[in-house]
Amino acid sequence: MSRYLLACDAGGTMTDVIVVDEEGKFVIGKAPTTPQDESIGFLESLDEALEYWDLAQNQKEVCGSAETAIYTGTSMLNTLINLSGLKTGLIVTRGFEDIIIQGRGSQTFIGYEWSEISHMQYRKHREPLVPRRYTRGVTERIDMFGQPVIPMYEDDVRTGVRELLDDGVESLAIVFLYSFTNPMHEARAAEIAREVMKEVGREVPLVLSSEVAPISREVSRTNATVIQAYAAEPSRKQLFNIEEKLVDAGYEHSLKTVLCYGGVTNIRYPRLFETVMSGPVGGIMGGKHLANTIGGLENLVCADMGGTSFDAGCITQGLLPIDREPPFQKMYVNVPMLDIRSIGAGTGTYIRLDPETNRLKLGPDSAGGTPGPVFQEQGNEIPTIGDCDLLLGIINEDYYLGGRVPVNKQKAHDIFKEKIADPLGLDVPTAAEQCVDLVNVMMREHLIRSLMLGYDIRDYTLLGYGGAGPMHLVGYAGEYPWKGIATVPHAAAFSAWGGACMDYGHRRHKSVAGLIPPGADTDTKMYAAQAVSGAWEELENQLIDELVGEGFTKDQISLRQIAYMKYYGHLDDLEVASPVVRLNTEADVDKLVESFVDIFTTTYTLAGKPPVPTYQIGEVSVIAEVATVKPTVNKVDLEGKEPPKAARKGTRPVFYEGTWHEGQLFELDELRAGNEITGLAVVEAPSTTLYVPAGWHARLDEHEIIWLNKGESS
Amino acid sequence: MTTEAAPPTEKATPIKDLLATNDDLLKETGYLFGLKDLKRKQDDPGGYEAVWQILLNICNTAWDVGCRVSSSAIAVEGGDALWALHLPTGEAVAVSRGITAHPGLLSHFLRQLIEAGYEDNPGISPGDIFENNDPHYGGIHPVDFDTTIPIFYGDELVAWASGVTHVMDSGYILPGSIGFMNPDSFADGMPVTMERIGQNDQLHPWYEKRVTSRTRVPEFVMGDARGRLAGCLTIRNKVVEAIDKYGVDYFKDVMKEYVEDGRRYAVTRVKNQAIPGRLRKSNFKDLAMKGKRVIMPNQDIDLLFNLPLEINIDKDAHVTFSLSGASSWVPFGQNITPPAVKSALLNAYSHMVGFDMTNWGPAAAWTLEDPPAGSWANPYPVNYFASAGVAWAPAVMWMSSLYESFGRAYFMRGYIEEVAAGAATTLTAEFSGVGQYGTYVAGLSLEQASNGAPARGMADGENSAWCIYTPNADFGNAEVTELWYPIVYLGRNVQPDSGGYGTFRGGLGHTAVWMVKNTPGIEYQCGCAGMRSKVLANHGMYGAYPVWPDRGSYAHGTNLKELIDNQQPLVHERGDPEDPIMANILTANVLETNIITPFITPEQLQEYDVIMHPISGAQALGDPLERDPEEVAWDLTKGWTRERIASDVHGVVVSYDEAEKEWSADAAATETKRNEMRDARKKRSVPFKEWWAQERERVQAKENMDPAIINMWQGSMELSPGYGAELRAFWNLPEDFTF
Repeated sequence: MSRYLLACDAGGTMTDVIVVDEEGKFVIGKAPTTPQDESIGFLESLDEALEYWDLAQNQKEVCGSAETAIYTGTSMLNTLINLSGLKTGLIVTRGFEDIIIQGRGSQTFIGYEWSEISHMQYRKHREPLVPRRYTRGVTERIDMFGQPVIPMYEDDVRTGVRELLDDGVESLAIVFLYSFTNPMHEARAAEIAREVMKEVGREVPLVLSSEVAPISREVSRTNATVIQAYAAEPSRKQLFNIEEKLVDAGYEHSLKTVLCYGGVTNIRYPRLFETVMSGPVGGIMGGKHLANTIGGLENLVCADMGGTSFDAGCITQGLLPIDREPPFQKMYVNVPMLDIRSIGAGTGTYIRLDPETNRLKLGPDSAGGTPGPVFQEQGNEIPTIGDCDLLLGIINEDYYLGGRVPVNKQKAHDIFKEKIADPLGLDVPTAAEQCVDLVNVMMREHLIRSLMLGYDIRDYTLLGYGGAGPMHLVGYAGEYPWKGIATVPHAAAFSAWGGACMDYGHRRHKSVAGLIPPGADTDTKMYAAQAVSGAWEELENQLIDELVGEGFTKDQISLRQIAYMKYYGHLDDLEVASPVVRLNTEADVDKLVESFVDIFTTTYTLAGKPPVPTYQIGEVSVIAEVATVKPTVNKVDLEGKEPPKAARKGTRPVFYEGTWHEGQLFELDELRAGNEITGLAVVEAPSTTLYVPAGWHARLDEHEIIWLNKGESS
Repeated sequence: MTTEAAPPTEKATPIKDLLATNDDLLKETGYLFGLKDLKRKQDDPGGYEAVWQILLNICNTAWDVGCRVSSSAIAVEGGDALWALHLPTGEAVAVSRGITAHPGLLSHFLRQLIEAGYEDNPGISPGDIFENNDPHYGGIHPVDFDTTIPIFYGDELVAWASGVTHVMDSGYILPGSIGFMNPDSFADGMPVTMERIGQNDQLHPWYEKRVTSRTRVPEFVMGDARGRLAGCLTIRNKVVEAIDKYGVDYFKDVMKEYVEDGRRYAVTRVKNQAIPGRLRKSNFKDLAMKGKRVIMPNQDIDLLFNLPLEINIDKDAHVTFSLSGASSWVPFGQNITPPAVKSALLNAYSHMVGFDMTNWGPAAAWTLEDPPAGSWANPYPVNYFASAGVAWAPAVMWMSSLYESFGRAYFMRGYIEEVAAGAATTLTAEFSGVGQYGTYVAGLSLEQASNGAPARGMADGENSAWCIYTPNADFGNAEVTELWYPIVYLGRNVQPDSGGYGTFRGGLGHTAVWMVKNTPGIEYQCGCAGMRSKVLANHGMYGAYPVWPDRGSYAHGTNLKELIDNQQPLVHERGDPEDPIMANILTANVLETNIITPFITPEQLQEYDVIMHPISGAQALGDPLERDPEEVAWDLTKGWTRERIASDVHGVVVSYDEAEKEWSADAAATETKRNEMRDARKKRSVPFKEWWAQERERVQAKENMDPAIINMWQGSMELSPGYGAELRAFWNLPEDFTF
């Protein structure tokens, strides 16, 4: 029996399982998600995947041969949405008892577009995870220098903990201001809390902000700490249940799960809140693995277009994009998360005309996969981008999702004509093409103006995936000079594939105070250097302890040091991968500063650079990784440029740039490495459609990556 | 870049002439630029939207770049900044996120620049940088620096890029950026009067030298200057790329169409949601400074502003605004110019009328009648040296009336979900002195950037979620504020009952409690950027009770250290205003628990002094006796109201469940109590005619009228004779009656 890797991604509707064998071959199964017991969906989806290899009857053997099983689910997310976590008590610095309820004004419009932000009537605070009555204040204060300017009133802690336990809380979170510079009050409060629990005879999980997220900004730190206290253990219970079922099915190891910042960890990982939003991680990590494997893709923009949203992330020099205070569920949270930026744009995106200005409006809402475009006849009668793709001849009405889903093209035509084309005074294909062009521009702008701010796209390869990715890839790549434009045959399942491509990794952050003023002497520089190096060492020791505790040896662990730097006075910092492991000399400090200046001048215009700069290092982090078994990216022999006859499917009229063209049709599964296709062409597969407009070429390389380029074929 | 030539006719036309032509076309046709048809939009609606998306994204990219380069917490975290793209004639086409009043000011600045003949002298060349912060020439108040650069395509000026940020200090007579105390424009700090401050994309060295010698925190002021410029350069470079792609003719056409479409959008929104007719709203703001620390002798006075608003919506949904009756200019930094009022209207429009197409267009959808010459809204014809230190102050109060008035118009049409019952006041906290790093510090906290939001037509207002001057309502994190100023937070909780009482209550504000620490001494200004002293703050709608006035507190020379050392209770909140906690806990050389705002502490505050800074809640809607009793009980459980308010204001009979720690309402007992309260109201009431007759006698006799009231009415009647005549007619007073 071969060795396998199992990776499961349980979404809100469907659960995908990818099974990878030791040669890197893989199959993907789908089954409905079963929120009441997610192990059921996992095993059903696994069965479906194994059917492709005729191994459905051998589930036990496959599980027994699995080296790793990775699970990504929505249990923690659902716990937060449904408010079904532990009854949590919150102990905070006195005077901040409303910190959760009050939050920040900007949390009320997280995820809104600017027009919605201006519209005051829309804003709303989320339901607090901890009601005010389960919050207690403790008189204490640490100041910004880490000095205890008000000692902790220990009786406040004792009374507060006792009252909360009497109220029946099932977990406790402690958050004091500036505890990240000096955790002494939180640590002492924890000791007292444990004493009280002992006296009362009831132990509950206890979470300290200085342990789980020792980072500045108390609102985000409180949210992170409360999520850990509120949702981690219920989620872990579900994970243990899945692990148990897998063990019953023959699996012999511990279950792994996925961290928000792209890494795998044991489900026994203490800071489980760092797995709270791992759904979109797969695609980026798949891109990173692809880049690591085939080389030449160290700068990669990963763009996922599905039915609802267009999600993109940017890997630079192999470094993953990280947002350290991401918005999540109407909260800002101090949890490092892959910086994936989304807009509402997909094949399900609704098309409407503004009744007041007759302007064309796309989304941001969407019909998603269900009810989906009008042509699916599942109840949606608002035209969508997918309907336009059909009306333009790009989607094959007889082969949509491999022919499994019937398509009513006439209905899509009639509704689009009535609601969009006629009011605009345009014929149907012209109007449909304008809608598709518009959504492509929106996605392109998202990439160029938002994601790629300060980066030179000539250094970056654009990798498009997701069910709709290959269909719109050329459109959203536009005429910008990308280093390359690529997609993969398994674009629709690329995120699931990426879920199997992650290293075992942990990451820790810590706020520090490092200032390097103009003309700083050696002593001043080394003072800052000690703060930075000391924090790196502390974080490294913590990470090594964690990973060793999970069964790895020290020599398996690779460490990377990061500093977050800015010019003093600026509010936003930049992530700088340190060129040295420690700042042992003045020259080391200078090297770090040089790296920062390089990044700053690339990211912003020179006009922003202060003439007499003071450099500030406000936070550091360390990334610890252990390489794990991952799917291999196969290299096959190249065949000729001409696709085989079996790949040709004839022609179909496709509307492009205002006229109908006879588009060449191909079957993706029949193409061979080395084949080239000249547009206008449509390459069809059961799960996706690749559109090659006129003037473009598609080439399948030896790694079975599809490269698109304009002009002459390569 | 290509250098495609523009049609010679338009290229040869001076911009000044284009501006005059545009004005004529609007008058003659009713359409901006005479654009009866939007041909680019009609011919290619998808392309029209695509380019709009590109321009919006360009402006927001400028925001990203500019804010990250900028230094002011208030600009970046508080959102008091904006970048925009303009036509050659100045009209804003597309704008970034930020404060939506600024596009009007930036447009006006450009118009002034063109009308002043800058095209000839000093000339406008690629790489030029112009700037203005002077209210006499289109600025609103001097802490808002407006920067603009021309965008040339080939040798043709095709657009302008602009940016504005609110700096931390611009050299006002007192430190900081809320110059409510400025007695005249000579106290308004460093002027930049429509100047070319740089060339070849570089700031002139003398600009930085002036900032260095004339502002208190020059490194931050210069950081903002660099941020504005970086954002403008971003717009310029990206716009040229867009022109390369779409062609200069298309670009020039479509830019105009977006502005005209913005006008149409505003008109259509009013037509669809409001009813035609006249809406009027009386509104007053006071400024009680008598007996307080002031700068000039004539400031030792209590003042009352008349902030009248009249809105006329005609059958075509064209809106006319009038300030007829506005009272006189004041010897404080609280005067505003008509162009700035017009820009304030753009701000209000973007919040209450249209949300989708923010540009200059809506300004052509309405008419602002010239405010009375010599009033607080148009001071220069009478006093050219009136101060505009914090010109927003009366304007935001006036805008609150606009919110409410549009709310009424929407309510009448059935759009109850679009109602906003007003807008909370803006009380600022500024610190100056030696900070915790041993260097000089001056600046504004962000507390005021997140008030309670007003009640809607079908729901309570949100707590700490809205600010009239910026949709980016956010007070940020205490840990960040502590990095800037030598203070330590002792509290930042929701202030119970700080919103108006009503069927739907106003969103609540909060109270910040600070202990002074790590400084040899600082000053604290509890400043007025749009608040009231004694006059009840805001009215609310349809029978709601007004929001209580803001009251500040501080204690100087306290025993706080002793309390800390002995682990005694400290001060973390205001408590019930009728029994303030501070008075029960602290002893101090100076202990003020109910100061009529605004004020500046007469003493320099020392370590362990305490400041308690209030942030307002917002207006309510409907009779508080009609509030759902369970909502009142739920507010009690959350600690957002007090038992006596539940009983005396809402008429709700409540009980407390000790085990569940929850309040609940007794429906039957509540109904009985409410009926009794309604009966008592009826007994107190008198027929209107009777009330009018009694009140008329008092008015005619000027009975018990504070000089502030008399002065206000005198000014209003003198500056607006028609308003005076109407006032006399209402009270049936003699034709020669004056106050």
